[in-house]
Amino acid sequence: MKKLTALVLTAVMILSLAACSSGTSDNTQNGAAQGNSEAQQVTEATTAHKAEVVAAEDVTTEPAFEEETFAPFDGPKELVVGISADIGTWDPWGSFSGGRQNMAPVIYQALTADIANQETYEIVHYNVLAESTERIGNGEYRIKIREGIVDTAGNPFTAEDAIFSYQTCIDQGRLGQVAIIESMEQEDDLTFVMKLSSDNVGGFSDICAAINMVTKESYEASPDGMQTTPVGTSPMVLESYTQGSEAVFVKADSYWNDAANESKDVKAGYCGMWDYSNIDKVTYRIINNITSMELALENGEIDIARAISSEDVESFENSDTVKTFFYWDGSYSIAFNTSENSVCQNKNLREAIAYAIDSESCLSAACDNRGGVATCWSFWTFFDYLDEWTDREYFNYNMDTAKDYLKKFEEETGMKASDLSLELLYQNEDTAEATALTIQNFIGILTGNPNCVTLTSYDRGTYTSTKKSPDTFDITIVNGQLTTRTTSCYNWNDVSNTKVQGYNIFHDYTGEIDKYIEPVMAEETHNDDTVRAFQQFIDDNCYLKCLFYEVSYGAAAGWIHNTGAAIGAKGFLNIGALTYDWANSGK
Amino acid sequence: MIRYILKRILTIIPVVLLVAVVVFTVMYFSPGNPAEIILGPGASEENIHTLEVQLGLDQPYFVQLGRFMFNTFIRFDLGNSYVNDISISHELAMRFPKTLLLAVFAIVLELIVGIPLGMIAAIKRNRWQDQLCMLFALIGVSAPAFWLGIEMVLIFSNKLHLLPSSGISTWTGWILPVILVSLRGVAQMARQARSSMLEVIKSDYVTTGRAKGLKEGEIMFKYALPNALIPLIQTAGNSFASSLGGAIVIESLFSIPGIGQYMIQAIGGRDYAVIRGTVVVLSIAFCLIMLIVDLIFAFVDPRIMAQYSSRAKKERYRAGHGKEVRSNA
Repeated sequence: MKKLTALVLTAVMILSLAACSSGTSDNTQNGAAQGNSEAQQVTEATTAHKAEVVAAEDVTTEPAFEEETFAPFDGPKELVVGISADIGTWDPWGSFSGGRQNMAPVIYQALTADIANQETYEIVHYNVLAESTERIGNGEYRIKIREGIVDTAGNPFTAEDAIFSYQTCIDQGRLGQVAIIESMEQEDDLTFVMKLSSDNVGGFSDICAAINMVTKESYEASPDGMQTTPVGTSPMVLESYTQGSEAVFVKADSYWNDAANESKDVKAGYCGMWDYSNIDKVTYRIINNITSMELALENGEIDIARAISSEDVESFENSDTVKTFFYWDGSYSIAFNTSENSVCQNKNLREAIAYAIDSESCLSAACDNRGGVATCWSFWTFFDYLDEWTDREYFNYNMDTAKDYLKKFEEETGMKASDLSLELLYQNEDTAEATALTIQNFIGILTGNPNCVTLTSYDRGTYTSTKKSPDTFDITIVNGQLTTRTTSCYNWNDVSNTKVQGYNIFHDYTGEIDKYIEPVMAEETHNDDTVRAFQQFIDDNCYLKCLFYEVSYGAAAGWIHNTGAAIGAKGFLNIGALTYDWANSGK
Repeated sequence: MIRYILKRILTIIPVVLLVAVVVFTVMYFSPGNPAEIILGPGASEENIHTLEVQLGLDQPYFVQLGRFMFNTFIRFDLGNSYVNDISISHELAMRFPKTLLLAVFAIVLELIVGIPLGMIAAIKRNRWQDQLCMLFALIGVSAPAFWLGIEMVLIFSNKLHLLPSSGISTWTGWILPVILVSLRGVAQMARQARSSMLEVIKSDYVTTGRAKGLKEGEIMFKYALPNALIPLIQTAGNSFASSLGGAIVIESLFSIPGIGQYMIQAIGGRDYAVIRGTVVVLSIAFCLIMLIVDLIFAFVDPRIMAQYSSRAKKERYRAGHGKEVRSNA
């Protein structure tokens, strides 16, 4: 009787799990078709539209992506947002985390913000607390603060406070960006000059956009360095915080730039990220598990889910009460170890492998076709993206070409392809794993030996350390950031700059790669030519092949609109830029 | 008895010290650099080295170990998290009550549901009541907590809208997590109770009680159950200790900011300081729970209590009884 019962229970569990997964595979198939059409739309949009930077002086008012007229609503406008990680501490300059990414900007503002619209691929540069920034010399910048800024405690924000913020951040030593600040000198109440020890592309803009500003008076008045009592210059204040559970923000009594929020004048300092004119209160609920997050959204316990599983996108898209939004999350590339320790030091072998791997298949396997195939080691929204990289021949999948290169490798080295043993290293996460398996299959087909490639994966910490050693891999999967970056150089610098990082992912220490990365990184010499030259060097030597870009999803209740602007600067959930039909919210 | 308690407390000390050394050593030799994790993938070598010096990670093994042991056991300072620089003691003080509450509710449920289920199964052995109770126990032991949790959330939260899907901001938010954490314990308790009761039911004194005409309920609760308690106390102790260690899956599913969730985040983020501090605290908690379990044994079973009585007390007892015998004679 017991055995029978156990069998029945096992069958029930298997069936229920199978029911879940069959729904998923249906979703996957439909999702693949939809994802494919989305990817096609994306590619079409890109070729038709050049990614360009729109500077603050060129934009007079915030682009209106949707004209909406909603019924009036007199009730409390209270939004509930689900996020997966907690901030932990409200210290303005704490280490990066998912919670900080989403919650810190509700309280704090920075000097500038660069926000890429996920649908139009336009990056708009906003001068927020800074009225202007000006490069006055090599590594020297003059910053003018806007007049009349006060924080929520009523303390005015001036150049002295900006210097104080940067200096305190430097002293804490947890944010690497500020390490290049050599000195700061105040010129007057609202102006100061910053000198950088190295003037790399994006370095200054990152310092301006990533470092939160506070007033010295408010910071020194805090008993714990604002760890529990944050005071910023944004329109919202922290009403209550239960660690690990939720944070509640309410409108401050006044905001220093209410006028800009009303006029939507970008030149006057308007930025959608801090436009809370249509929200009275926002609660961030920490929900660690993605399934729980989706259930909470379906139940109406939350109004926005920061992230949903790509497998469930289809069901949300078919829902009447919920809508999805996407954002370009990361790029996935394969990089070769070109040192003597690896057989991939041979260029013909690298070419063979590059042509043998079908990027579309990788995208399909890893992301259900939700994303885009890459044609360069860059991305459409980046400032330094070159149009010529779109729609070009880029190690396009061709097994015959691959085998030709493989034959050349065999003739050069005397090695037999079927005897090859390659180690593929990657960070332990779902997309990278699926990509690795696909690559393993393709290389197996190429060499005729299905056991040719050994997969090795580690958690983030171990992977970061392991890849620095030239004897731990032949091929590795490199993850590049998209939403939180504005230039190709950021991603290039992370893995190619030996001088800064102490290593490069290709383990080429001949000095060749340095000749290209250094000019492209320096602000003085960063231009289309140096950018083109670096990409060309990587392509000509087949050091790296960028495979695809991954799209991630969030979801919001159906009465929330303009979700194309949902992701703001540095991946922040841009609730200020969304529009809310409160009358239909059921609140 | 006091001597026994003191002796047991003293034995906890080397156990905890050994655990601290082992966990520190394992973390020390694990690959991965906390400074790199904190600063992110684009950090320069120089920045990484600066942070390593700041965190003391550049010191030799014995220096770091000595500092850790001194801070933990002499200054009672577990340090700050490498990732967010928050005091670990503060975090544990915030999180421990939530995990403790979960564990306490769960153990209460295990005792008030599991023991009666086991007793019923034992008393009604081989009848439908026994089959039903053991079926429930089988489900409780076999069903994966995560799957069961999702199913319960789908039913009670999504479909019936009776309970929240996550969070413990209201009392209703505790219901599903407590049930799920206790389910396995209830099942194990029921099975153990049935097994213990079956042994005790066969005893001579139970037969004598029945022969004397005592009520069945009185026999079971007054005579049988106390004798069946020893293995049940052990089961309850183990269950409580493992719940306290963090019902990681349940805390993750219901977003309960407890110790389990804290550990998982620390492990993923290579936050060695948190991992070390939490393991030390949990090892102390576990040892104390085992001590409490042993003490409960002593109170429940007079034979065990007698073993720990002092020699003087035993001499007085023998002397007292010897006088009585002589005077009676």
